[in-house]
Amino acid sequence: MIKGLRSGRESAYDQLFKEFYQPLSVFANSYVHDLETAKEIVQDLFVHLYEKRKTLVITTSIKSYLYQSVRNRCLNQIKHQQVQKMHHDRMKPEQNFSENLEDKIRETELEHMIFKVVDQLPPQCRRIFNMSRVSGLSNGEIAEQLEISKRTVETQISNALKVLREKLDY
Amino acid sequence: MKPKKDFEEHLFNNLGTFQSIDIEEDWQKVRGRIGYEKSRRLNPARAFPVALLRGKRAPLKIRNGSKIPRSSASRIFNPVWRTAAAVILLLGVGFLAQKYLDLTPDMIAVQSGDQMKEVLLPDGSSVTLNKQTKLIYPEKFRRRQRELKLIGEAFFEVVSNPALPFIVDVDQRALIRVLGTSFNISTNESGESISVQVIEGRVAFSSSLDRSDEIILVKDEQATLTEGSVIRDDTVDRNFLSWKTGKLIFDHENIAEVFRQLQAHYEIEIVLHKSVHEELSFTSTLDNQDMESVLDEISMVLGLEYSYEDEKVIFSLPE
Repeated sequence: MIKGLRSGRESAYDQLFKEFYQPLSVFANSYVHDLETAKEIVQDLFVHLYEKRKTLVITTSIKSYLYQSVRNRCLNQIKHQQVQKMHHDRMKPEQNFSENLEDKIRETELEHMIFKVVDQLPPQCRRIFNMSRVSGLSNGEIAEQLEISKRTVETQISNALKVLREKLDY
Repeated sequence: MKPKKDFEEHLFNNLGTFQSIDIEEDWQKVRGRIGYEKSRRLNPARAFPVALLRGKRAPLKIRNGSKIPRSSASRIFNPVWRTAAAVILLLGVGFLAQKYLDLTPDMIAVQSGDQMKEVLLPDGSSVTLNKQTKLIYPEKFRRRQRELKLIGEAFFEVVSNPALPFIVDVDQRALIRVLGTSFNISTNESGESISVQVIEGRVAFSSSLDRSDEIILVKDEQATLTEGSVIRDDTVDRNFLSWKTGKLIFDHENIAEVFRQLQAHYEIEIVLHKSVHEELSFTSTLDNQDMESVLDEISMVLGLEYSYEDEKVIFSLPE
């Protein structure tokens, strides 16, 4: 992939972006607590990566390279904002940055896999699961909104969890 | 990983966030920027550092030019050599100590200048001197032991001979005796401490003044002499041989430490602008790369820009 990148092949670059854009954005969001900022940081990284593709020597795995870059850029951003004293309410300056990066990357990847599996669920199942886990509705509320039985809701959610467990070997 | 009773609920916390990120839409944004940036990049900025870089790069070429040939490096790790040779890296500072080194008539002094230098000892052992290093050894080793003196930094391949101990005197401060096959010795840049790292075999390490505090080190162990006493270290500095191998390994290393090691390696001052977060970290294996590609990689990973100012490299936040 790095070779493909170096030669400027758009497909290689495209692939890299599609594979990592979402998890990196979520990961960045955990630092900057603002999704738009997080996404911009990741986009900047990809633009920079493309610009430097010819001279760049990446000796670690592309994954740890990307995550580490994002983390550093987030810290830069936080520092920058602290200096500017903007969006101060959104920032947590007391945040501890000596976190275990490996663990954090692993967790982001797991969340990404969960997202991908949920995305593949049958529409009705996915909808119910999202209402439950994303919107935080109770099974009763979901049943009411969709005009189905509470039992169906429970079955669909447990089906979703079963698929997740199987696919993720969790 | 064994199946658990249920998913920890917090793993779903970001599910909504994932769903709200539109890859296609943002990919178009990035593509657009690349095209835009590309045409804008044909700007004079491209030309700026060339002259400067040349100047900076020149000493690196010297460094590369003086590098030990690959065959020699691989020979060290050849198993046959391993059993026959002890590998020692010595680093001592103290130009003050120079005056204490008595040169008896049969002594040979070798001084490396701006380049590394290889020396073949009378017993067949060989020594690679780092730049600005002095080695003093007898034309013929004595019958009881092989004694050498060192000021500076060196890498030894010692022919093993249990009947003839191999002893290195560093600055008249530390004594390193080869007991088994192979090991390493080094110091911090201020010259206050001298460290020994053992690759394999056994090594005895003590201060010159007090042999009673001698420490025996085996494989993957390190000890340091500071203020006259030798203390066992918990961890081994993984880049201790970088001056010779050209290889630097960083594993989530704090950026200040990375810069410290790069400075020593590339002989150029590298600083972080004060506006930059000091907890940035860097992971990479740099294998004989030229300085420019290393700086590019760092600027990429850190999301910073670098510039040359007063013989220094400064990393700062992008505009």
